[in-house]
Amino acid sequence: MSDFIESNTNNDGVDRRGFLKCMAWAGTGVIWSINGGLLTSTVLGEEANNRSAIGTAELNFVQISDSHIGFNKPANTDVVGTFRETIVRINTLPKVPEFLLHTGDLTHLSDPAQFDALDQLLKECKTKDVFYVPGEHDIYDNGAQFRARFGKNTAGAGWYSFDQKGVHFVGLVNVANIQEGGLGTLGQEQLDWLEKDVKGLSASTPIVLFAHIPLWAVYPKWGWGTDDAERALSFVKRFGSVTVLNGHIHQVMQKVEGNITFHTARGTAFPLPAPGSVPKPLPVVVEATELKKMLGLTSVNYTETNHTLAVVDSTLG
Amino acid sequence: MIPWDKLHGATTHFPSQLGKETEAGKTPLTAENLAVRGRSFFFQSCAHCHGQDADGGEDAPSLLKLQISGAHMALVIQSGIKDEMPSFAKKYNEEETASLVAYLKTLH
Repeated sequence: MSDFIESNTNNDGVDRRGFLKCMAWAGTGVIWSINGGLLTSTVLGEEANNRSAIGTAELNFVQISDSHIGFNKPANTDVVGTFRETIVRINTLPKVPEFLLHTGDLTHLSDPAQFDALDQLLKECKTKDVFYVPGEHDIYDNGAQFRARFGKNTAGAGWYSFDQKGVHFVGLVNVANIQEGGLGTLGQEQLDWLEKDVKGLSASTPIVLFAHIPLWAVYPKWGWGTDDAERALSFVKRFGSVTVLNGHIHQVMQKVEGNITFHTARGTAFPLPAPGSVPKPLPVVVEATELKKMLGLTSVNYTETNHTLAVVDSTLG
Repeated sequence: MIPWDKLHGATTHFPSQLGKETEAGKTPLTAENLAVRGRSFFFQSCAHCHGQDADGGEDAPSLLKLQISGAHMALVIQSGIKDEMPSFAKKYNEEETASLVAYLKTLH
């Protein structure tokens, strides 16, 4: 599988540096709509541009990620506030989403009080059903808190699947055994389970895989990828529509490869730098006023199949 | 690269465990293989905050050249630091914590 843009291969005038710079900022959540079996995405704050699709969709759900409740460093000293703002945006969507997917790092330190705070905040959300996968920050206690709260009816380290309106969703855990270099790992047991889980499904079933660390090699040097993801993807290649949703990198990136669309969501807590733009992926500190302005500013869609790069800008204020 | 040549001289804060056998692999608990195990625990649980090179990362400081005792390191790993670092008491038992300490000592 190809990794990331090394050079500009078309004439859109956007080179890799420009692409990385532009994609660094995006919305605090993503709403997904299914119309006629096709998944479309809209960054929260841009839903006015897609009101009709959301209104007529068979299924709407929102992906949120990396809330890091408990984080208190200069990159965002009010993660509760930005999470609450995300909930307000969800509540004001033209149609209440059926459920939320939280793709991990709910908390910063796996602290029970931080899990409690997240629970309380989500009570303010009109959408009540939330499906989770853990991030590495959620399992410092070996996943005890996470599993007790969200791991009922899951297998292994917390993986599971469910169906909603004809779409098959699979929550995967790739943070339980992170290796040197930081890449996520699914592991043989989970891969065997996944193969079995999707085996009996019709190839026309839309599939959504979600996990914390990207299931594609966004930037392996920073551990932004999953070591054995290709095996997992080999089980779903026969399906006509596969969507892979991840968090971890705190920025929106999207890639289409064959029938598989990969999407990483922006976190609600703090920004991380564009891949390779700095020596280490440290939280990016900006002025408080800028932080809010920058959320929801830019969404980037990279379609590998036709080498088209679309950058959409919008402001929240 | 990890200075493996330093492992031979590494000691842990649980010297009483050295020479005992682990339950699974029946491998003697030498300072060297403690540090090897600790290294994998480090990448599993510590590196994403302290950096893959242990020289500071996401929001946690460098662990290179720590000027605290092995016992103090173990205490911090087990107890955490309020609002700063999680407790790993439920993830790593005493022996596993000793492994992590043994590895951290190789970073001096």
